Amino acid sequence: MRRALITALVVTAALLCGASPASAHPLPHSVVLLDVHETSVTAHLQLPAGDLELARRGEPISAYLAAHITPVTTDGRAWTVAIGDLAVGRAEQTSTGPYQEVVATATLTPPPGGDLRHFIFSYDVIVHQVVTHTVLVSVRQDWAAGRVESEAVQVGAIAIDSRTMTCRRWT
Amino acid sequence: MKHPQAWRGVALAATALAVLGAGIATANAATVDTKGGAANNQAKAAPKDPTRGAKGVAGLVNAANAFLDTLSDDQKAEVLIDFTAENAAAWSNLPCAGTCRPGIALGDLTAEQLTAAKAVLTAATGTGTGTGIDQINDILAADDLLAADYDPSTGPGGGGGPAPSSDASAAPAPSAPSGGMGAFQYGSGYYYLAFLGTPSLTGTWELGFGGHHLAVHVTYKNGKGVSASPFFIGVEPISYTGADGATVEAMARQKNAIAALTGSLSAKQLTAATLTESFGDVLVGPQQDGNFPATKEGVAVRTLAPKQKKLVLDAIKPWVAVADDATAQQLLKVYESELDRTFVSVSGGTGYDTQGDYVRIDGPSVWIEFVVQNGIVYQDQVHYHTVYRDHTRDYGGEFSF
Repeated sequence: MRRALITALVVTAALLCGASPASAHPLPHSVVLLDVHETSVTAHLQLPAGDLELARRGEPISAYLAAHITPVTTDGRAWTVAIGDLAVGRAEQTSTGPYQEVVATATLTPPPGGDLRHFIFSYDVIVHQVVTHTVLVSVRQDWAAGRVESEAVQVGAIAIDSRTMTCRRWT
Repeated sequence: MKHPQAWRGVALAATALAVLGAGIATANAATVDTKGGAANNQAKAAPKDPTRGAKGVAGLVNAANAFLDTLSDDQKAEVLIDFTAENAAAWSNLPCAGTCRPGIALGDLTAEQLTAAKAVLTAATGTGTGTGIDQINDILAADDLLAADYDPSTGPGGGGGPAPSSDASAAPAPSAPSGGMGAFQYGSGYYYLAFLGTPSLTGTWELGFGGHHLAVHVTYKNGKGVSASPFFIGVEPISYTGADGATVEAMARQKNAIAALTGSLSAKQLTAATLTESFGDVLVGPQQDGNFPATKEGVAVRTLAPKQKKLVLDAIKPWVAVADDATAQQLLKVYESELDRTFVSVSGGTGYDTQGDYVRIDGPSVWIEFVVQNGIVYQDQVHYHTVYRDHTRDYGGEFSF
């Protein structure tokens, strides 16, 4: 299975990516907002329902998400992932028109000694299957590091490179 | 359905003129205006036959010059832009009006200018029923329905909204583009015509025409059409009642040809054709120039029966037929000669009624994608997105990506 690997440089949060997220997307993309806490990271997921349905192929959503969000430390040790409550709502992004989205929360906890601000996100929800999909990852809050602005800072985009049909690794 | 009707009416008039022109053509076939069209006329009036009786690209160049002659200098500057990779690649399938594509809005033109613009489009595009200018008219009419039925305050009609009907009398006039729809600008007034390079029988230039669900690019070199891609075409609603009460399915030609092709595949062929990935949209859409997968996937056309091979060619045809008939014929010859090195792949179902139903035709040159998406304005219906590209001929092969 292809893996989208993204190193979330949470502290500097200045990573620019080549998936041109600034240009309008023909279709709604996933939004992942990361909140860094003292001992864990909360990932708030906004997933367009249409593409999620294509991707999970009947697998229960929580189990599906857990299988495709597998962060590891930079030396390869797995984090634990707990998927919280799910909700369905209506959303709209620039030029997409309104659409249904699934909202979920995942609590990501590093193993003892794991760095909360330098880890490999290893996230390929939807994009492992729906190759026209894009995921934008942002850091919303990092209280401990002094990030409390209301505006999230984008740290990366996860998308398939259609020439090679593989995910790119952003570091 | 006031405005789609108005648009269609003008288009029919333009077609009639073109037919008239073809009659004159035998006596006057080589007439090409090289002095800038009607520049010598006292008024900026479009000639009765903008092609001046010339056929093919010569007629198109005449129609283009006749159109330019109806424009003010400021308007000309909107239409005539440099043929650069940046300008060529600046297109979209989104209803983002003039923010994402070059050219002059049809809605900004006077009636006379609009007639001249449509004569240009008629000369540049194919004469087939359900393709070429006929199909473009239907796509614009569908967008007038969207303009009438899209309510930005309450959002789209919701899951149980009424089916689109001919009662679109509230459609905004194409001649009055205005804000107020936020990021969305639906309607036939928000389609844009541009010439990249100078229309001429020498040198290289491209005609660009597009708006929501439509991006036409035809490129000419030394008086010959050499490329009809990229061509994005989609439609919502996929079926509506036209001005004359008849049901219009603007993309029936494409959808039926695709369905006939995949419907002809045996279970074994279908398995060979099926991709592991899913698609929410076309893969090589706007701003994806050159991003073709390096490996062709699916069932090899050379393994198909002769009847099926013909269905592949028939499926390619409706897209290529966007260009004038002579150009389309040339391109089809190329694609036919490459059929044995072409692949057909599918994802999702083959009913073309469910989000994610997808077909791709990928050859040494031709690239076609057809995908079914959930509705945006009519959320109880699906709609289509498709793109036709050419691995080496997009934008006339002038740029590398």
